[in-house]
Amino acid sequence: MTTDFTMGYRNHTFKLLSVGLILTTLLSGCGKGTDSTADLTLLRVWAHAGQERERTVLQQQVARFNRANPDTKIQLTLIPEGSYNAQIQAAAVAGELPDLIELDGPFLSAYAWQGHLQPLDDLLDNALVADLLPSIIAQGSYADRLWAVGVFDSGLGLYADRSKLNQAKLRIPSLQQPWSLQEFETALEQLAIADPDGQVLDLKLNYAGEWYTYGLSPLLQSAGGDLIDRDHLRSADGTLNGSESKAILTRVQNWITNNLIDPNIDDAAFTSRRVPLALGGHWNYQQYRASLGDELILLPLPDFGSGSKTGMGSWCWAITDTARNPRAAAQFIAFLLTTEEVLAMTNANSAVPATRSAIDASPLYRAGGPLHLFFEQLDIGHGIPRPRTPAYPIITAEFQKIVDRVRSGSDVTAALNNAVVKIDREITDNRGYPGPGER
Amino acid sequence: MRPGAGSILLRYLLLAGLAIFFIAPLLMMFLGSLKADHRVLLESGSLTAFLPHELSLQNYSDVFRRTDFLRFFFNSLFITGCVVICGLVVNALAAYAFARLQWRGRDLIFNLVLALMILPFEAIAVPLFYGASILGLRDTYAVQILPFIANAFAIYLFYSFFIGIPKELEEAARIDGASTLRIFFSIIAPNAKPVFASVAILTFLTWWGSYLWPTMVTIGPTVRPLPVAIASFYTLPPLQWGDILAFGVMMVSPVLLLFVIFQRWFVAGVASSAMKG
Repeated sequence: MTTDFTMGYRNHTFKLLSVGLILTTLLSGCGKGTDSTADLTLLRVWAHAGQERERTVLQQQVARFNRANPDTKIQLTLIPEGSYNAQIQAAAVAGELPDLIELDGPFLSAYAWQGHLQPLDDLLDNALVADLLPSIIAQGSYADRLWAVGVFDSGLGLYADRSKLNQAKLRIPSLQQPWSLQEFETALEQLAIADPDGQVLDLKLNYAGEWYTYGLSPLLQSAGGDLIDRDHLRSADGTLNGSESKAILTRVQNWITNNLIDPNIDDAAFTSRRVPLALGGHWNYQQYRASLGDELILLPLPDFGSGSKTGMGSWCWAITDTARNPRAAAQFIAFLLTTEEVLAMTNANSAVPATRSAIDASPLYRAGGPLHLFFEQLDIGHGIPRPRTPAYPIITAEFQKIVDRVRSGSDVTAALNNAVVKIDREITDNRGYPGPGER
Repeated sequence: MRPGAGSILLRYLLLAGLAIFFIAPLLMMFLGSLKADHRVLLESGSLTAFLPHELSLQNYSDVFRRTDFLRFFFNSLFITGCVVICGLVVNALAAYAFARLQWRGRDLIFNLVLALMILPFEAIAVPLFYGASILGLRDTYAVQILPFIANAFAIYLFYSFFIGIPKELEEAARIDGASTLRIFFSIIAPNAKPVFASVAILTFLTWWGSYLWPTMVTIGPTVRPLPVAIASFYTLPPLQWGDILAFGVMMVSPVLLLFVIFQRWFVAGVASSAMKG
């Protein structure tokens, strides 16, 4: 009986192990893609699966590049935007980054600092770099080297309903003469008088997330405050919780308390003409234009004391440190930056073209175009890059909490001090994020 | 003594309140999936969110247009199905070995297995990730299945149930010449349907909604499961909540269906395992 049991057991065990082994082998094989063509340079490219129009254009661009370059094949993988950074980080940890990746601009410093990228300075043609907007260079630079370039930049401004501004007899501000803080607050009050519910400004408080840092930190910078001390990037103390930052955020809180801000729950505050003013980005243009027609005008953000400031930065391309053929990867970036390809993308997503050549050819952005202001403010340096430090992820997370607390009526000073403690602790824990040569 | 009418009424009111508490989010998700994006947000703060009006299937159509939903659904079904089926076999056999077979070190190993229950997955995610990377298993079905077949909690549930099955049943079969595996598959397993159902449902629920691990180990759409795929909708604001809710409805439907079908066994299995445990 013992023998029977043992034999039976062994037989069954053998069968089970065999099935398991076959299953494992089959499963391991599933989903792995390889390219066996010997003379073909395979470039693995990862990009975020963002807006549908951008995605479609990128896929068309890859197809065009592959057709024009028979020796090189781009293998494009689109990764959901919601999990993009996590998946890139995981691949970096596993040493499995592709040749070329798309990065959200503000996170560039963290990737460069971690050593996952290689500089582009020697890989891109000088004439091409010279044609780039200064904001594109600024966003892609870290530790005095160029690590990434975008095909487009972002634009942030104040969209307005011209007829309502005229009815309230308000001055139409310009980039040379933006509204002052006093003028802006007077405009809000004047517009509120004629408004049925008194809510006249949309700050897109329904967006949350990175929008808060991108869209609202220029208000701090215009008032003389900032997210961190830009000279050393080692501490937020005295800057984020400084008197200027505190003053402007207290004013924002007052606007909310005084019912001047539309919560924009339905994301239609401006398009339904409930409010005459809306803080918004380039991506809002097509929808706003469709709703307001010729009454839509684009204004610079007000000058709260230190000049009108605006946000900048968007997705950009970087070559990884594990890229087997960086020259071929750079060739693809250069292809994306040709005027024709930049326009293909920016005509689809309304973003600011990355090159001056494309700006001149863009119906939206050339002189006299409806979004020319976005280009102008980036060109003259009103765009403030989000802090180029590996600590940016904690800075933006903490600033988002600050805005949430300001919104809910909490004490502004306490919210700012709390954030400063957390940001500074993170920087200290990482020994100030020493640069590549200092580690 | 029979409870009074007031007590019954109070009990029903409490149960009705709890039922509304649990059903309301599902109902809101379902109705929201049939409404336009701006209506979803506009009505979210009021009872109109629960009123069916201006309904359409446009959001569902958008989901199929914007994502390869069927592919992701198959991936989730295949991955979760493999974890459940393989897990039932492996964990039940392991639990049977702990409950019935005599072998050296059994109790020590059983206690070590039980100790694994207190380890959260997050604690072993990074070493597991390195292991999977070294083996070249990233972006495969295998990496989403193999590490999760053996499960300490499932072993414990099976063990609790098996220990309560009368030994006489097995002894009679053994006298008739049945092998251990034959006894397991012919005697034990048919008598343990409730615990099999419980473990199957619990495992299914856990891995159908799993997000952290697939995010770490998948890259392309080939083996991407539903929870990672839904992240495609979290793009530049404003988010299209109608599409997200439609995706959510299609994602949770199999779970609800499974639960409704196996509800009786599930409740019986959990109750008996808990009592015997």
